[in-house]
Amino acid sequence: MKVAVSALGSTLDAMVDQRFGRAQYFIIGNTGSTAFEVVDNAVNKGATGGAGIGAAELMSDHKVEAVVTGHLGPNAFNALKAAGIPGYEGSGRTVKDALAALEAGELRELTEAGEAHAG
Amino acid sequence: MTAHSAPHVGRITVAIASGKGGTGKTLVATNLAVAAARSGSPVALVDCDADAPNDALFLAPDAPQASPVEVPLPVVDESACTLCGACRRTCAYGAIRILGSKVIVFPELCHNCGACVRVCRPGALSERPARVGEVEWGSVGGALTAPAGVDVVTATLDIGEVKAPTVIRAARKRAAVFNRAVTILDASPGVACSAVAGVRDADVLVLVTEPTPFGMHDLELAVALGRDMGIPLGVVINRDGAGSADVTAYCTAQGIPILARIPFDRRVAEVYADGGLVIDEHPDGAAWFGGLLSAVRELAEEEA
Repeated sequence: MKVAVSALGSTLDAMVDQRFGRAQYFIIGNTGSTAFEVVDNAVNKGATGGAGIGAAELMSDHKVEAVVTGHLGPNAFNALKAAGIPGYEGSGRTVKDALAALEAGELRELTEAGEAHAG
Repeated sequence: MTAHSAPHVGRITVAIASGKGGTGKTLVATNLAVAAARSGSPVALVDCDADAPNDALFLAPDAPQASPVEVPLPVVDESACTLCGACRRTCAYGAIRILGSKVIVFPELCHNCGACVRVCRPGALSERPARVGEVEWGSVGGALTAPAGVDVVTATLDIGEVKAPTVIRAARKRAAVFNRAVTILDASPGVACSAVAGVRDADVLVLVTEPTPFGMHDLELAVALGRDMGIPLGVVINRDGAGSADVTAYCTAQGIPILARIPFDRRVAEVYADGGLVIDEHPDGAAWFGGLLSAVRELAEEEA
């Protein structure tokens, strides 16, 4: 399964970025594999609006099947839902740990949108 | 003169704005409208504070009419869509996205420009009208405003909608049809898009402030906005005597005329809170707003 983790850095040791739409990077890994891809989210991070929607579209374009992040606002949540991509809560972990925890079924699925962030 | 005659020199559009909210824009706009009507000039009062309009609480028209404000919103015919992506590449606002294998429109990001529809070669996109608010209008007259009357036009943004400037422009268009001698625009607080939509193309800008640090700070922003837009401006100091900010010194240093001072007075607050008109219910009201009307006219003539 192709999984994207919002990350503060561009390595597997980076911490999960609490933000989804305005995350620094997305690290896309595959369960059962150590290979990963780094996607710079600069376009959405600096967007004046619609960052969550843009990031969800980025996930969809990369054919991601699950997202691990800290928090999903209403726009991001609904856009991911439209794309059929579930989100999981993985804050406080490194990207590597988050991927392992997701595989082990330890992460909670984000079943509703959190608070909106302006802009 | 017919309703379609061109505006002549005597016509004047006065915008009432402030940086800070709650400084007294509505107090000034409603009472100034009554003062102008009593001076013999037919008035259109446009409540441009579309998020929280309240002029009609003070000047309630009989039998108001209303008209919805709509914007064109793209709709996708999935059966015709080839997922080519031309629409999303064209949209400058990121309002049209491809998620999964569907094109999705995000109405709150859409600026209703129609570009996506024009670039859609398979013809999968069309536009439908989407309501964002309402304009209501009606006349207030009789003994209250004699010899002239006040047409009150209210812009109301629907709850959950964000396109206040669209609704404000629609209200101003409605008021322009009346083509009254005096148009008073009661603008939104702040200095962002909504406030700009309310003051654009005014002949005179009246900035209502209060002598508090917050009022002073936001007055400076509002002055910068007015100067940037090239509108001659003056200041009304409301709650004069309260607070610690020296608005007078600032205005003197900046060469900004002080058009009126309304003192920090319990009676003013009581009348306003009761939905009354200070021009009638305060012993000094007629002098304050009559003086403001003269000062506004002088400012307009100086700049003409």
